[in-house]
Amino acid sequence: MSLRILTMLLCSALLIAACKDDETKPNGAVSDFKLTFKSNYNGERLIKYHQYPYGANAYPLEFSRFTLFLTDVTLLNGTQETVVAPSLYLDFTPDNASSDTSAYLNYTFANIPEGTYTGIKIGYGVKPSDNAKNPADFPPSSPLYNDNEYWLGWKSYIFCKIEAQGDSDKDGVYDHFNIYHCGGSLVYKTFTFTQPITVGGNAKTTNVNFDLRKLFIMDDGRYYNMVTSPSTSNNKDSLRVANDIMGKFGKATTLEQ
Amino acid sequence: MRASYQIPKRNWLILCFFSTIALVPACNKDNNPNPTPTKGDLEDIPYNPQAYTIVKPAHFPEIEVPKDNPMTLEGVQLGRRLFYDPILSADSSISCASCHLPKGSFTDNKATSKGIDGINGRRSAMSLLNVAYVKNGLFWDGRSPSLEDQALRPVEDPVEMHNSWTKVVEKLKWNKDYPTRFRQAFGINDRSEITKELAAKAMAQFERILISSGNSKYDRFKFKGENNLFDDEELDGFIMFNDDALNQGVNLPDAQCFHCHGGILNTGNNYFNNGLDSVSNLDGFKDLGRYLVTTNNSDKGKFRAPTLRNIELSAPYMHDGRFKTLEEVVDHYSKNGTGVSNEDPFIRQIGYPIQGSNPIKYTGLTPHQKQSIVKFLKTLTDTDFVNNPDIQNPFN
Repeated sequence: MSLRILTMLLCSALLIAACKDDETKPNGAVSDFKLTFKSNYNGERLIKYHQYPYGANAYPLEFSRFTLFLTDVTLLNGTQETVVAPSLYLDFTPDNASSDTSAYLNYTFANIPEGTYTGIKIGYGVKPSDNAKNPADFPPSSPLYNDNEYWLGWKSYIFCKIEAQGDSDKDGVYDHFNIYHCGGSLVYKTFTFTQPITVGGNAKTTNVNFDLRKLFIMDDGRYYNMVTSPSTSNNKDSLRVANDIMGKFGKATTLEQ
Repeated sequence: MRASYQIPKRNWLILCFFSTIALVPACNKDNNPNPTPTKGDLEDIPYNPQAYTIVKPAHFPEIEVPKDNPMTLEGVQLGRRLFYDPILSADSSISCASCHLPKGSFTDNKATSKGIDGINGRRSAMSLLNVAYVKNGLFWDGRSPSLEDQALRPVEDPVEMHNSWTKVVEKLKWNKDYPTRFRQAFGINDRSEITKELAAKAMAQFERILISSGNSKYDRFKFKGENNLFDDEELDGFIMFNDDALNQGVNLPDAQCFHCHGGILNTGNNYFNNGLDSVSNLDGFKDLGRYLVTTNNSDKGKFRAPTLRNIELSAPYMHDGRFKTLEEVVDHYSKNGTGVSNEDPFIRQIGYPIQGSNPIKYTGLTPHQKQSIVKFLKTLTDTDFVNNPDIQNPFN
């Protein structure tokens, strides 16, 4: 009789221990976390050389390049931070594409603790400690190995490249050209987005959308004047222009899962 | 107890006779058009490959080597011989080096090159300097994804070597030297294991060592602290090239060069329409360039931006060699493009903005500014590289 009781007690203890394991699983288990980066214009998938209406007179504007460095893409849970990607280079208009439709850039990050996070923090550009280095300081596996995206003159990576051309007087001739290459540690920005993000289980891919139109809408709601400020080079205001554009990524970024 | 057997003297003579007859065909192997390789015929040759460390300047990025083609001394040496050996061409008249000579920074200094049949190729031979770093497609149109793939192509190109790899491999198998070298480089057991893929791997290994010395005037000025090395014109050229006037606090226009030829390697490795041809629509380009690879309409007339390192030594310029001098090249860019729809925006903004123009136009460069750019470009010349004994013709 006492042996039977002892056995039952032992089984109960084992069951309790097993239950405890289950309860702690959400904190200990890890899963893949999938992110897809997308580039849009006014909510629609960006297409190179597609005519988008721009400005008060809705003149045709065509984009030809959009690239972006991100640093420390971090999942937040209260004060806890989980860095999922120390550095990313996003080329939405790659040279090897067979069409002008911008690329969806898919990443899977392994071994991310499962759970529901409260938001995500993203650094736009290359953080100053990395930007103080150059491509020779990074292994080929790093996005920062990319010598093509390093600006020797400014000793900086080119955080963001946006190139476009427009027909501002609508005479059928594309005669203003826009080159916004933003770089230098002064224009590095960090933005936090509060939104539940689940990792593990049947969690869907998290989409991070960048809307180029929102980068060029000023605080007062007007369009940025791409005709009078066509570029970040050859321009005494280049730092201000770069700072304005990088500063708009907070508003231009949306997340969905 | 072991059985012993002693061959009678008369039988020895018979055995020797038949052995000699049997050996005669073996001696004729090199002349036999269809010989059969003996299994394991290279096994007695030692296979102890030595790892090869590519020498690069400290300020250059690390070189990525494919895991399935590690660098070895024997592989590089074999690749070097194949690169310089006309055995690859159908009539044994040209080698890779016929179009990629060290003195031209591994170009042939011709607008286009002639193959074995005397037919001109459609494009200029690209410099192979620092080709190990190219990650975005080789050739002017980027049609080849890797050095290993690229090395296979000229052999069968009808306007280049006009051969077949089947024939090349047969010649290599029965060459007196190459089977041993393939064994030493790749550990093959017999000559039947020689393949075009191994030949390409060896040539790719050799091409990966074609790296700048890091001793050009530019390298010494920019990366080695010799701050007073540039004269005023070279310095002005450097500033205009790199869009650095604001940083330097000087009044110089932007020549916009570095956007496509930037970074430590002076190439963006991307594809651009750099305004060479004024065509009424994108189908008007004589050479459709990158489009032939991607079939993307907006890639028509785009070509890879080559490295500008050693550009002084690699004339003529552009994919079709249309410009004979660097002065002509800079003149071209100073004209601010032709207006074709997929032209790169940078070639529309060279010089100072013209005040009051709307949309903003640009001045281009003055003759003195153009000269300064050319003088800067010549600081990229790296004679230590072209004279490096490790990359010269091993048959000389």
